[in-house]
Amino acid sequence: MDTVDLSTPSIDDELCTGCGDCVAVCPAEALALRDERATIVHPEDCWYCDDCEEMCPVGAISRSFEITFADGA
Amino acid sequence: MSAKRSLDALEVVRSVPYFAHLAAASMEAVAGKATRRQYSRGEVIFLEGDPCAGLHVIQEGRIKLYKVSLEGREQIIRLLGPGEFFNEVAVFDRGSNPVSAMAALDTTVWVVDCGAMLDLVGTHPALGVAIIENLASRSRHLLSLVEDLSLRTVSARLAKLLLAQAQASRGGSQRITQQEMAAQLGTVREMVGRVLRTFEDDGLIRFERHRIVVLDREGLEKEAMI
Repeated sequence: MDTVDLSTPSIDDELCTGCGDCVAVCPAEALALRDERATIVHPEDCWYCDDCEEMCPVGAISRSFEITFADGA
Repeated sequence: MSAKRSLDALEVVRSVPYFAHLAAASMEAVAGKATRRQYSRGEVIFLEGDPCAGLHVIQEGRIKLYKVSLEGREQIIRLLGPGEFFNEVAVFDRGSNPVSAMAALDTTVWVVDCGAMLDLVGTHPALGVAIIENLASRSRHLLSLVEDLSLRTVSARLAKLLLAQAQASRGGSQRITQQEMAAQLGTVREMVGRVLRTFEDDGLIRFERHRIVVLDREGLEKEAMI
Protein backbone atom coordinates (compact mmCIF):
# COMPACT_ATOMS: atom_id res chain seq x y z
CA MET A 1 0.00 0.00 0.00
CA ASP A 2 1.45 3.43 -0.92
CA THR A 3 1.95 5.96 1.86
CA VAL A 4 0.62 9.47 1.53
CA ASP A 5 2.61 12.35 3.03
CA LEU A 6 0.16 14.10 5.26
CA SER A 7 2.59 16.64 6.68
CA THR A 8 2.29 19.11 3.77
CA PRO A 9 -0.46 20.02 1.32
CA SER A 10 -1.07 17.56 -1.47
CA ILE A 11 -0.46 18.73 -5.07
CA ASP A 12 -2.26 16.97 -7.92
CA ASP A 13 0.31 16.79 -10.76
CA GLU A 14 -2.39 16.15 -13.33
CA LEU A 15 -4.29 19.33 -12.44
CA CYS A 16 -1.24 21.55 -11.88
CA THR A 17 -0.52 23.80 -14.87
CA GLY A 18 2.80 25.09 -13.56
CA CYS A 19 1.54 28.68 -13.38
CA GLY A 20 3.72 29.38 -10.34
CA ASP A 21 1.13 31.42 -8.44
CA CYS A 22 1.48 29.19 -5.38
CA VAL A 23 5.26 29.59 -5.45
CA ALA A 24 4.89 33.35 -5.49
CA VAL A 25 2.40 33.48 -2.63
CA CYS A 26 3.99 30.95 -0.24
CA PRO A 27 5.13 32.92 2.84
CA ALA A 28 7.63 30.22 3.80
CA GLU A 29 9.13 29.82 0.31
CA ALA A 30 8.50 26.11 0.62
CA LEU A 31 7.29 25.70 -2.98
CA ALA A 32 9.09 25.75 -6.31
CA LEU A 33 8.46 24.67 -9.88
CA ARG A 34 10.20 21.44 -10.87
CA ASP A 35 9.65 20.01 -14.38
CA GLU A 36 6.95 22.66 -14.84
CA ARG A 37 4.97 21.43 -11.85
CA ALA A 38 4.62 22.89 -8.36
CA THR A 39 6.54 20.91 -5.78
CA ILE A 40 7.02 21.37 -2.06
CA VAL A 41 10.80 21.57 -1.98
CA HIS A 42 11.14 22.59 1.68
CA PRO A 43 8.45 20.58 3.52
CA GLU A 44 10.10 21.34 6.84
CA ASP A 45 9.34 25.06 6.32
CA CYS A 46 5.70 24.62 5.30
CA TRP A 47 3.30 26.46 7.61
CA TYR A 48 0.26 24.53 6.35
CA CYS A 49 -1.43 27.89 5.88
CA ASP A 50 -4.10 28.22 3.18
CA ASP A 51 -2.27 30.62 0.87
CA CYS A 52 -1.28 28.10 -1.81
CA GLU A 53 -4.61 26.28 -1.72
CA GLU A 54 -6.50 29.58 -2.02
CA MET A 55 -4.25 30.91 -4.76
CA CYS A 56 -4.26 27.85 -7.05
CA PRO A 57 -6.57 28.68 -9.97
CA VAL A 58 -7.25 25.03 -10.82
CA GLY A 59 -7.70 23.53 -7.35
CA ALA A 60 -4.61 21.35 -7.61
CA ILE A 61 -3.54 21.93 -4.01
CA SER A 62 -5.42 20.55 -1.03
CA ARG A 63 -4.84 20.29 2.71
CA SER A 64 -6.46 17.54 4.72
CA PHE A 65 -7.63 17.95 8.30
CA GLU A 66 -8.73 15.77 11.11
CA ILE A 67 -11.82 17.27 12.77
CA THR A 68 -12.04 16.81 16.52
CA PHE A 69 -13.83 18.16 19.54
CA ALA A 70 -11.85 20.29 21.94
CA ASP A 71 -11.68 18.81 25.42
CA GLY A 72 -14.92 19.65 27.10
CA ALA A 73 -16.69 20.63 23.90
CA MET B 1 -9.95 -20.43 -6.61
CA SER B 2 -7.03 -21.40 -4.34
CA ALA B 3 -7.78 -22.47 -0.78
CA LYS B 4 -6.18 -19.30 0.61
CA ARG B 5 -8.23 -17.07 -1.67
CA SER B 6 -11.38 -18.98 -0.72
CA LEU B 7 -10.64 -18.37 2.96
CA ASP B 8 -9.93 -14.69 2.30
CA ALA B 9 -13.22 -14.34 0.42
CA LEU B 10 -15.11 -16.07 3.24
CA GLU B 11 -13.51 -13.79 5.86
CA VAL B 12 -14.58 -10.75 3.86
CA VAL B 13 -18.19 -12.00 3.59
CA ARG B 14 -18.20 -12.69 7.34
CA SER B 15 -16.97 -9.13 7.99
CA VAL B 16 -20.13 -7.60 6.47
CA PRO B 17 -22.49 -6.81 9.38
CA TYR B 18 -25.58 -7.42 7.22
CA PHE B 19 -24.33 -10.96 6.44
CA ALA B 20 -23.46 -11.78 10.05
CA HIS B 21 -26.61 -13.85 10.60
CA LEU B 22 -26.43 -15.83 7.39
CA ALA B 23 -25.98 -19.57 7.51
CA ALA B 24 -22.47 -20.80 6.79
CA ALA B 25 -23.64 -22.35 3.52
CA SER B 26 -24.94 -18.97 2.29
CA MET B 27 -21.72 -17.18 3.21
CA GLU B 28 -19.68 -19.87 1.48
CA ALA B 29 -21.90 -19.61 -1.60
CA VAL B 30 -21.27 -15.84 -1.87
CA ALA B 31 -17.55 -16.25 -1.20
CA GLY B 32 -17.36 -18.95 -3.86
CA LYS B 33 -18.57 -16.57 -6.56
CA ALA B 34 -16.39 -13.61 -5.55
CA THR B 35 -13.30 -12.40 -7.42
CA ARG B 36 -10.68 -10.25 -5.70
CA ARG B 37 -9.65 -6.94 -7.28
CA GLN B 38 -7.17 -4.34 -6.07
CA TYR B 39 -7.21 -0.63 -6.87
CA SER B 40 -4.71 2.14 -6.23
CA ARG B 41 -5.72 5.40 -4.59
CA GLY B 42 -7.53 7.56 -7.14
CA GLU B 43 -8.26 4.67 -9.50
CA VAL B 44 -11.78 4.53 -10.95
CA ILE B 45 -13.53 1.24 -10.21
CA PHE B 46 -16.58 1.74 -12.41
CA LEU B 47 -18.49 4.62 -14.02
CA GLU B 48 -22.09 5.72 -13.68
CA GLY B 49 -24.13 4.55 -16.63
CA ASP B 50 -21.87 1.65 -17.58
CA PRO B 51 -23.33 -1.88 -17.52
CA CYS B 52 -23.76 -3.40 -14.06
CA ALA B 53 -20.32 -3.98 -12.58
CA GLY B 54 -21.56 -6.47 -9.98
CA LEU B 55 -21.83 -6.39 -6.21
CA HIS B 56 -18.62 -5.13 -4.59
CA VAL B 57 -17.62 -6.00 -1.02
CA ILE B 58 -14.80 -3.97 0.54
CA GLN B 59 -12.03 -5.93 2.26
CA GLU B 60 -9.75 -3.00 2.97
CA GLY B 61 -9.40 0.62 1.91
CA ARG B 62 -12.00 3.30 1.23
CA ILE B 63 -14.43 3.81 -1.64
CA LYS B 64 -16.01 7.05 -2.83
CA LEU B 65 -19.39 6.77 -4.58
CA TYR B 66 -20.09 9.93 -6.57
CA LYS B 67 -21.92 11.59 -9.42
CA VAL B 68 -20.46 14.23 -11.74
CA SER B 69 -22.42 17.05 -13.40
CA LEU B 70 -21.98 18.02 -17.06
CA GLU B 71 -19.90 20.97 -15.82
CA GLY B 72 -17.60 18.57 -14.00
CA ARG B 73 -18.72 19.28 -10.45
CA GLU B 74 -18.58 16.22 -8.23
CA GLN B 75 -21.20 15.28 -5.64
CA ILE B 76 -20.13 12.60 -3.18
CA ILE B 77 -23.00 10.26 -2.45
CA ARG B 78 -21.28 8.11 0.15
CA LEU B 79 -17.89 7.05 1.50
CA LEU B 80 -17.57 3.35 2.37
CA GLY B 81 -15.00 1.24 4.20
CA PRO B 82 -14.16 -2.37 5.07
CA GLY B 83 -17.12 -4.67 5.65
CA GLU B 84 -19.47 -2.63 3.44
CA PHE B 85 -20.81 -3.51 0.01
CA PHE B 86 -22.07 -1.38 -2.87
CA ASN B 87 -23.67 -1.38 -6.33
CA GLU B 88 -26.49 -3.66 -5.21
CA VAL B 89 -28.96 -1.28 -6.91
CA ALA B 90 -27.62 -2.16 -10.37
CA VAL B 91 -27.65 -5.87 -9.54
CA PHE B 92 -31.27 -5.96 -8.41
CA ASP B 93 -32.94 -3.53 -10.81
CA ARG B 94 -30.88 -5.03 -13.66
CA GLY B 95 -29.89 -1.52 -14.74
CA SER B 96 -26.61 0.32 -15.26
CA ASN B 97 -24.36 1.48 -12.42
CA PRO B 98 -26.30 4.32 -10.69
CA VAL B 99 -23.13 6.09 -9.52
CA SER B 100 -19.40 6.06 -10.19
CA ALA B 101 -16.96 4.47 -7.74
CA MET B 102 -13.36 5.42 -7.05
CA ALA B 103 -10.74 4.10 -4.62
CA ALA B 104 -10.16 6.92 -2.10
CA LEU B 105 -7.29 4.86 -0.65
CA ASP B 106 -5.48 1.73 -1.91
CA THR B 107 -8.39 -0.68 -1.80
CA THR B 108 -9.17 -4.39 -2.12
CA VAL B 109 -12.69 -5.45 -3.06
CA TRP B 110 -14.34 -8.77 -3.84
CA VAL B 111 -16.79 -8.69 -6.75
CA VAL B 112 -19.74 -10.97 -7.47
CA ASP B 113 -21.12 -10.46 -10.96
CA CYS B 114 -24.75 -9.51 -11.45
CA GLY B 115 -26.01 -12.82 -12.78
CA ALA B 116 -24.26 -14.84 -10.07
CA MET B 117 -25.64 -12.53 -7.38
CA LEU B 118 -29.22 -12.92 -8.61
CA ASP B 119 -28.78 -16.71 -8.69
CA LEU B 120 -27.44 -16.66 -5.13
CA VAL B 121 -30.42 -14.68 -3.81
CA GLY B 122 -32.73 -17.15 -5.54
CA THR B 123 -31.16 -20.12 -3.77
CA HIS B 124 -30.39 -18.35 -0.46
CA PRO B 125 -33.39 -16.12 0.40
CA ALA B 126 -31.82 -14.97 3.69
CA LEU B 127 -29.14 -13.26 1.59
CA GLY B 128 -31.90 -11.27 -0.12
CA VAL B 129 -33.28 -10.17 3.24
CA ALA B 130 -29.82 -9.05 4.35
CA ILE B 131 -29.45 -6.95 1.21
CA ILE B 132 -32.92 -5.44 1.67
CA GLU B 133 -31.89 -4.33 5.18
CA ASN B 134 -28.84 -2.64 3.71
CA LEU B 135 -30.92 -0.99 0.97
CA ALA B 136 -33.32 0.33 3.60
CA SER B 137 -30.43 1.86 5.52
CA ARG B 138 -29.08 3.41 2.31
CA SER B 139 -32.52 4.87 1.54
CA ARG B 140 -32.57 6.49 4.95
CA HIS B 141 -29.15 8.00 4.31
CA LEU B 142 -30.24 9.32 0.90
CA LEU B 143 -33.37 10.87 2.39
CA SER B 144 -31.18 12.66 4.91
CA LEU B 145 -28.95 13.85 2.07
CA VAL B 146 -31.97 15.15 0.12
CA GLU B 147 -33.16 16.96 3.23
CA ASP B 148 -29.74 18.54 3.71
CA LEU B 149 -29.34 19.63 0.10
CA SER B 150 -32.83 21.06 -0.25
CA LEU B 151 -33.64 22.42 3.21
CA ARG B 152 -30.33 23.42 4.79
CA THR B 153 -28.01 26.30 3.86
CA VAL B 154 -24.37 25.54 3.04
CA SER B 155 -23.44 26.92 6.44
CA ALA B 156 -25.84 24.55 8.21
CA ARG B 157 -24.71 21.58 6.10
CA LEU B 158 -21.07 22.31 6.85
CA ALA B 159 -21.74 22.66 10.58
CA LYS B 160 -23.52 19.29 10.51
CA LEU B 161 -20.62 17.73 8.61
CA LEU B 162 -18.04 19.07 11.07
CA LEU B 163 -20.00 17.65 13.98
CA ALA B 164 -20.36 14.26 12.27
CA GLN B 165 -16.65 14.14 11.39
CA ALA B 166 -15.63 15.10 14.95
CA GLN B 167 -17.88 12.38 16.33
CA ALA B 168 -16.47 9.82 13.86
CA SER B 169 -12.90 10.77 14.70
CA ARG B 170 -13.45 9.50 18.24
CA GLY B 171 -13.37 6.04 16.69
CA GLY B 172 -10.16 6.70 14.80
CA SER B 173 -8.54 9.46 12.79
CA GLN B 174 -10.23 10.37 9.50
CA ARG B 175 -8.90 13.26 7.45
CA ILE B 176 -10.82 15.29 4.92
CA THR B 177 -9.92 18.12 2.53
CA GLN B 178 -12.03 21.21 1.87
CA GLN B 179 -12.62 19.89 -1.65
CA GLU B 180 -14.00 16.63 -0.24
CA MET B 181 -16.22 18.59 2.14
CA ALA B 182 -17.51 20.62 -0.80
CA ALA B 183 -18.23 17.50 -2.84
CA GLN B 184 -20.22 16.00 0.02
CA LEU B 185 -22.16 19.20 0.61
CA GLY B 186 -23.00 20.01 -3.00
CA THR B 187 -21.01 23.22 -3.10
CA VAL B 188 -17.54 24.44 -4.12
CA ARG B 189 -14.26 24.54 -2.19
CA GLU B 190 -14.13 28.33 -2.04
CA MET B 191 -17.52 28.45 -0.31
CA VAL B 192 -16.38 25.87 2.24
CA GLY B 193 -13.26 27.94 2.91
CA ARG B 194 -15.31 31.11 3.44
CA VAL B 195 -17.75 29.44 5.81
CA LEU B 196 -14.94 27.81 7.79
CA ARG B 197 -13.30 31.21 8.24
CA THR B 198 -16.62 32.62 9.43
CA PHE B 199 -16.94 29.76 11.94
CA GLU B 200 -13.40 30.49 13.13
CA ASP B 201 -14.11 34.21 13.48
CA ASP B 202 -17.25 33.35 15.49
CA GLY B 203 -15.23 31.15 17.85
CA LEU B 204 -16.96 27.94 16.85
CA ILE B 205 -13.81 26.23 15.55
CA ARG B 206 -10.06 26.70 15.59
CA PHE B 207 -7.58 25.74 12.86
CA GLU B 208 -4.45 23.90 13.96
CA ARG B 209 -1.77 22.57 11.60
CA HIS B 210 -3.55 19.38 10.58
CA ARG B 211 -6.70 19.69 12.65
CA ILE B 212 -9.91 21.63 12.83
CA VAL B 213 -10.96 21.72 16.48
CA VAL B 214 -14.61 22.21 17.39
CA LEU B 215 -14.54 24.68 20.29
CA ASP B 216 -18.25 25.37 20.70
CA ARG B 217 -20.23 22.21 20.04
CA GLU B 218 -23.54 23.75 21.13
CA GLY B 219 -22.99 26.74 18.90
CA LEU B 220 -22.19 24.51 15.94
CA GLU B 221 -25.29 22.39 16.60
CA LYS B 222 -27.37 25.55 16.56
CA GLU B 223 -25.73 26.53 13.29
CA ALA B 224 -26.50 23.05 11.92
CA MET B 225 -30.16 23.44 12.92
CA ILE B 226 -30.16 20.14 14.82
